[in-house]
Amino acid sequence: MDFLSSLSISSSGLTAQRVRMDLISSNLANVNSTQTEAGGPYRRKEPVFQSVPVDESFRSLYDKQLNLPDKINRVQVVDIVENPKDFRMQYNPNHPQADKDGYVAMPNVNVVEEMANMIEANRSFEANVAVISTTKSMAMKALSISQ
Amino acid sequence: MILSKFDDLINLERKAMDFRNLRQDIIASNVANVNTPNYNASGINFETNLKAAAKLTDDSMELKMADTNPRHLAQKIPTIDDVQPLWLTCRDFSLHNDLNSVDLDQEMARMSENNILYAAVSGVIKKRLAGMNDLITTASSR
Repeated sequence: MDFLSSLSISSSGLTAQRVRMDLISSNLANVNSTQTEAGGPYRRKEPVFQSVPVDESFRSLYDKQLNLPDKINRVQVVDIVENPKDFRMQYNPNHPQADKDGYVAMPNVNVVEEMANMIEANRSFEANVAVISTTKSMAMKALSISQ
Repeated sequence: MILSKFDDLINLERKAMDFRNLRQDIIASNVANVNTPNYNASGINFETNLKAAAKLTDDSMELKMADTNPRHLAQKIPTIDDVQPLWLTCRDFSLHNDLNSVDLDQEMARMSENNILYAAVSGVIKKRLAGMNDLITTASSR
């Protein structure tokens, strides 16, 4: 383990939070999209995070075989899933996509939920940035020994 | 004598820096996985083991059983290089609904502490090397 692995772990965290942020903006942008390429209204998208061991060393593989938890993990977005929740039904009889009762199926995006998620993603991103800057300062301290 | 003492101390400080480096990696791992469901936060304790080994190394300078018979077992004194950290995993605790046991505030506090102590140890090593350098230049300028 060295500083570079620490930096790569933190940058994996930054990437994951950025993907999450991209999905939140996609959800918010499509809050009123009643039609998609796949057909039907837009469905809320969310990332699936998974922790993966940082190195594929013998020790790490050995621990995995023994079902010991891996100690040092990166984070990876393994999948992006669509939320199966029901669509919001909105009464709008003049809408071209209205059903026979005059209701239009709207995306299952909740703006408040997205906002809360956005704040959380932002905080997590900041935490990873803080770890990177601390790692950097530690590396500089180690380098200064030789000066 | 002075060289062996110097060596031991530098070794101890080097090991302390290694462990602090490892702790930084673990904190990075915990923070990166702050939103990963079912993730268990991990940590290490190395202070206890390192302190014990440092004490053993110190004692071994004065208190060492004499080998008076070739059939006496050789004394194996654990060196500082043999010290292993104690791994801790935080289970059955979660601040969220996703069974993730990372406490971000605690990780941040631990990281600051680690950073300060890392700086302190690296400062001590720097001073120690400077002191040794002074000693050599003074001796050679005589």
